[in-house]
Order: sequence, then structure tokens, then C-alpha cells
Amino acid sequence: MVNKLIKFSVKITLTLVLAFTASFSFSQEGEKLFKANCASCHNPVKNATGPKMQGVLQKWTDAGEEELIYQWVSNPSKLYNSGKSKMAKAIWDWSPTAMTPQGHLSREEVESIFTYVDNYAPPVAAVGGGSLAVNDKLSSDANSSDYWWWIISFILVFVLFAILGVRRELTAAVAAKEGKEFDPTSTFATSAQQWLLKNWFVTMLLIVGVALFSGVELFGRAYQLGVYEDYMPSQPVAYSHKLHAGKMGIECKYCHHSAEKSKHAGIPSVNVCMNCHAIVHEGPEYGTEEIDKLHKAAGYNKNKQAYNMDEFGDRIEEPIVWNKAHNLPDHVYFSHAQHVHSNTANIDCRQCHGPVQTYTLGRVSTIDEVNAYAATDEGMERGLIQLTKPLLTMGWCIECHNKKEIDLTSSGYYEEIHKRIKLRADVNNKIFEDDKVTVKELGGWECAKCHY
Amino acid sequence: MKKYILSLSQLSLFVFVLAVVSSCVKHPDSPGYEYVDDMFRSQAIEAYIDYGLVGDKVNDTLKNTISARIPVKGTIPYSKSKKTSTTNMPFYYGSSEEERIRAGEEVSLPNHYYSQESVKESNTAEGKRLYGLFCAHCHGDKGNGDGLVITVGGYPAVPPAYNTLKDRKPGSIFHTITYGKNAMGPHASQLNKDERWKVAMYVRTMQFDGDLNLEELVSENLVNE
Repeated sequence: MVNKLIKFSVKITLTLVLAFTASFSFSQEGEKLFKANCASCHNPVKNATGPKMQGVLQKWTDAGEEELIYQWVSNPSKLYNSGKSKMAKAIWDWSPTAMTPQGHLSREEVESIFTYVDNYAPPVAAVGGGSLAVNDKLSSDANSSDYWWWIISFILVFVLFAILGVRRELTAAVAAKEGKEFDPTSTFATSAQQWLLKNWFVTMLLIVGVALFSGVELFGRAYQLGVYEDYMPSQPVAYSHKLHAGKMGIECKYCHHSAEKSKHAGIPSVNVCMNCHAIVHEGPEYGTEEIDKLHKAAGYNKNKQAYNMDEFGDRIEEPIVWNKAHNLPDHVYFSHAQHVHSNTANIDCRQCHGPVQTYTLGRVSTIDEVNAYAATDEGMERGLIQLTKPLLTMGWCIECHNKKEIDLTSSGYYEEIHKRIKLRADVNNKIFEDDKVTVKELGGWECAKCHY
Repeated sequence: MKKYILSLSQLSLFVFVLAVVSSCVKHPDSPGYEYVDDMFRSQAIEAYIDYGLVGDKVNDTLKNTISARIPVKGTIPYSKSKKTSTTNMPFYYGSSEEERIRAGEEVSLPNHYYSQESVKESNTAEGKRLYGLFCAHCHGDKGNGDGLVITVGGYPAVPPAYNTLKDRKPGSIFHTITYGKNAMGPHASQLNKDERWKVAMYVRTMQFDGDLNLEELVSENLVNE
């Protein structure tokens, strides 16, 4: 009897364990199958190219078509054409893309996929994304503190003059009381003049001081003219480089793709945004607000997953007018292609633009930021060098042309130059004198290189 | 007493003028004053130059309104070499799934991309570089569909791993880059035809572990000729 009981309980435990492992492996199997066959179009909890899959079995069951869903998976167009299924028609009308038939999956495999999808819980978003809007404030802070300095100094000057006026009145009153002579026509200006004439040495010091100060100030201000460091204009869409290039690691040249072919790095047109945002409708910071602007610009209807067309078959678009952050005057020629293409100089974007992957909107970095980034491991890996002059000034250009070393075997462009240098012994000797080749030695300091 | 007030108001005026001059441009989106303003903006119209905002002055009629334009349909880029111009010829396939399969059957990688060993190597290397710039953030460095956009960014769809798609021939890959497929958008504006072939070459190389699967390509070409 006891033996029987033990045997029975062992059997039960064994069955339970088996059932448990089976169901576990079942859902694992489902995950594998889902990722291999469905995930490129379907997301369990979001609409993508295909509709979201969580609860889909329930929906078909509610519509009384529990059996038909397996037919749909193995051959959607056959089921749709047969006209038996309302659900099939609804999905067919919803998505412009037809589903790829999955006839190679057995019924059990499809069931395991549904089990996996229905039990799927989206991973919790990583904490510590930080505020994306940090450096939006930088420039406005600096401006407002300037403004307060002026108000405070104005009040101080006012108080100073009020005190001086009171002192003068008092002096006059004292003079009148003591019966001394006090010239009533003497103003503050004349008394100050008298004092200055009496203390001529102090006067001279003052004049020299003021002249020196204003000269230095004038020189400094003139040097700031045409220097755009820290310039960050507002933009029509709150795009974040920090999210796209920093967190998700999208290369600069994915969006600014004309950098390799043109003198302009290019402001990406909306179709580049739509490569992803055709199915990404919500961002982490602003929700759907900012991405809706993209959809409006591209003429995209996110509910229908299709573009709005006019009667000529063209998309109804409204270009986004971005503000340009990096301005160079017309009298200097600069080409991105020459600097960043791998067949030419192959310079990393961050040498001139700084750590843009940490900024939100496009912004001109300051030279200190670029130097700080160049000193980090990542910066050194990218071959950045440190410079001293402000960004986008001529001093900065020629400083880099003088400092940056060139490896003449690094690209076809330099190999061709090397070949031509070797034809002239005197030039060759002069350039290779110090075992170091710079852009300056290859003509990078010629005026007509950039000004013509 | 009247005189003091006058000198005070003069002084405050002086301070005010100083403040205005030193605060420079007030427009929040203007980069500031420019020296030699007639040499700053080209007289001929240039791309990405805003003629509507100079210093503080806003001129609405001159503001930028149009965006980047696409070339006229059927435009063929000029090139000196006959081989390159052949590559640049229009791609006569539509965007649908049937057309992709047809392109895979009918169009093959042009012969001159791999006929010489050195050319083949440099093209594949260039393809690898372009893959890193334009594909790797979604498809992953090894083509396993595990790029940062997918793993960190939470993109709703997951790209399939390349080693499961060995039946996609170069023509089909070219079609996919040109028109996109499922959740992937069209990349024709970012990669020209030459670059698309190079990327397709590198993808094939990855699928067959460093080999371009030349035999298949050669037999295809023979059939075409």
C-alpha cells in the first residue's frame, strides 16, 4: 500500500516536472520561432509593418474564426481570396504590405508562437537616460547674467550720484551756517573739474587707464566678430543628436550623407527620417508631438501607413525649414568631401564639430569642448588633435593644417600626391626633412587654396 | 537743482547706449554681426544660405522655403568610364515584392566588380565601410540583426539575421536597398547605385563567411549572356 502511494506520488511529481519543462521549452521555442519568422514585420505589443500580435488569437476567436487563423498564417492570400474570413479582409485592408506566407510552420509551431507572444512583456526602459534638454539652457543663462550686471551697475551709479548730490547740498548748508563763502553757480561738473586740475597726476593715470581699457576691449570685441562658438539656433523640430547618434550609435554620415560627396555635409531631407519613423511613431522625450511634425512634412498618414498623394501622384509634402548652425563666409571655400572621405583626408567629424553625440540640437562647439573630447580615450582613438584658436576661424584652420600629421600611404589621394612629390628631388627633400608631413607642406597654407 | 537732473539723465542715457551696443544682435536665431557683409553671402544662389536673416534684419520674401530636391526622373549621372555608366543606368523594377524576386533572378552583380582579385577586394572593403555607416546600427556588425537601434533604441521590428537569407541574390539585395522592405526604408537617396552594389557584395561576403560565392555569380552571368 505504502509502496503504491510512493510510486503514485513519484509519478505525479515526474509528470508535473515534465509538464513544467515542456511548457517552458514550448515558450522558448516560440520565442525562437517568432524571432526567426515574424519579428522583421511584427512586434508583440506595437503596430509595425504588420499589426501587433499580442491577443491576436483572442480576436480571431471572438470573431468565431479560431481555426481560420492557422490558414491565414500558412497562406494569407488564399484565405483572403476565398472570402471566408472577415478578419483576413480587415488585416488586408489595414496594411499596404501583404504578409509573407509561413507555410513551412507546423500548427504546433504557430501555437507556440502565439503562446510566446501572449505572455510577452516589453522590457522596462533603461533608467538614467538623463535630461536631453541640458545644454538648451547654456547660452540663455550667459545672456541673462549679462543683463543683470547692467541693471546692478546702473543702480550703483544712480546711488553714487544721489549720495554725491546730498553731500554737496550738505556742504552748501554747512558753508551757509558758518558764514563762509559758497559759490551757488558752481555745479557738480565744475567742482569735479577743479578737483581733477588740482590732482593732475591722478587725472593722467585715469585717462591712460581708460584709453588702455577701451583699446583692449575694442580689440577683444573685434576678435569676437564672426566667431560663432557656442551658437545654437532654435530648430522647428526638437531633434536630439544625443538620442540618435549617442544612445543608438547611428553614424553622423547616415543622415549627413552628402558629406562624402559634396562640399556640404547636408541637412537630411525628411525621407531619411522616414526610413525609421515610418514605423516609429513615438519618442522617449516628447511622445508623438515631434514625430508628428515629421509625418506632416513628409505627407505621411501614420494610421494608414501610407503617403498622402495629390492628383498627379506626387506626395503632398511640406519641407521643414531647419536653421543652419555652422556658417562660413562666402569668401572662403571649404569642402566636406575633401576632408572626411576615406579616399582623401579621412578626418573624423568630431575633430571640427566636437562631441555632437552628447548635444541635443545642432550647435557650434567651443574649442575647449573639442580639446576635452580629444583628450579622452575615445577621442584619441579617433585620432583627434588639440588646437587653440576658436572654431570656424581662419586661425583655427591654418593651425590644424600646420599641426596635423599626414600618413601618405593612408589614401589614394595622398598616394598620388606622394608620387608627384617624388618626381622633384628638391621638393621631396624639403618635405621629408623632418620626417613629418603636414598639410602646410603640401600647399595647405597657400592663400588661393581657400580664397579665390 | 535742475542741472543735476540733466547730468543724471545724460549719464543714464550714456549707460543705456553702452548696454545696447555691447549686447549686439537681439534676434535669438541670428549668428551675430558680420564683417564685410558683401563678401559673406554669395550673390549667386547657394545651397543652405539663408538670405532672409542678415544680422538683425529679417526679410521674409528671401527666407529659405524649399528643401533638397530630387533629380529629374531617369537622370543618369555622367561618368567617363563605360563600366560606371552601365551601373548608373536606370533600374527598371518597381517597388513590390514580386519585382524584388524578379530583380533577384534577372539582375546580377556587374562582372567588373569582382573579375579582378584586387578590384574585388577593394570593392568589398569599401562595401564594408559603407555597411558600417549605413546598415550596422540596425543590422549589427555581423548582420545578426542586433544593432544598437534594435537592442537599445527599442525599434518595433527586428531585422532577420543574414545567414538565414542565403537565397537572396545580389540583385535582390540591391532591390531591397533601393526600395526598402517591410520595416526598412528605401536608402536610394543615401547610397548611389555603385555604392549599393558594393554593399550587396559585402553582405554576400558575410553570408558566405568571407567568400563571395563566385560560382553562383559566374553561372548567373553566363545565363544572362
